[in-house]
Amino acid sequence: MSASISILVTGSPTQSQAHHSAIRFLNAAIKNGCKIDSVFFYQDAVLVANQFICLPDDETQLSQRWLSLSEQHGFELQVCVAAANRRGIINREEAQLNQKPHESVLKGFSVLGLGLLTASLSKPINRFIHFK
Amino acid sequence: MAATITTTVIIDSPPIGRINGKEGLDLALVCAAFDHQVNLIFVDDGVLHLLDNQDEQFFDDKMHDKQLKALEFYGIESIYAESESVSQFGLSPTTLIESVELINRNQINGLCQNSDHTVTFS
Repeated sequence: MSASISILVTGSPTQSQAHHSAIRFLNAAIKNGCKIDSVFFYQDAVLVANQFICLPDDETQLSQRWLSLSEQHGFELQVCVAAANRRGIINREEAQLNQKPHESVLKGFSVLGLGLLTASLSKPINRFIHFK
Repeated sequence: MAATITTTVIIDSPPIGRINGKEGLDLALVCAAFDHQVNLIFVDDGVLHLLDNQDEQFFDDKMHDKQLKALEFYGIESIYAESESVSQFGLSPTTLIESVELINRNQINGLCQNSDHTVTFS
């Protein structure tokens, strides 16, 4: 039975290589027959889920890369709600609750609780990898 | 019934200027709520979270040391400080909050080896 992999990303998309490394690892793992169970974004990594990021065309569009991979391989992009709110990455519900003019989270990223990460850690079938 | 998962959380950031301690502690708490056996370990600058009698009036921000003193109620019984780090800061065990156990680097390594997962917040 092939490995099921659970990925945690905590590194900033601008101040670390965490996202690039995680994506390279993920692609290699899939190529080797592994299944990606989930990808969880915590700490500064949640910043990648900001729909207002405007990058020059010739730079890697990290957020879009995550979206394509998620769609292509059927895993959820899980963003910790507490870490996200703290950093201004908010969904519609949170925007309304806090009287903010607009949601900021990029569609395709799911904002949810830290419990989902713990749930991934609780599955004995998963190998867990942390990218900082 | 599934075996208990053991999760070790290591914090090496100071309580001021970095959110890593808080976010590491949040993960430890959620794991405890999911009935993991949690080892919470403070090393390097992280031991500064454990100073007793921190005075909030000198900082413009919330200190979460009260929460650290009550971790037992949240299911976290094992709180450790690295003895080498405590010495390095010239602290004695009496300057730290009560529920902390001092262990050395080798023992920490042992705890990690015996855990299902180790997550470090640095």
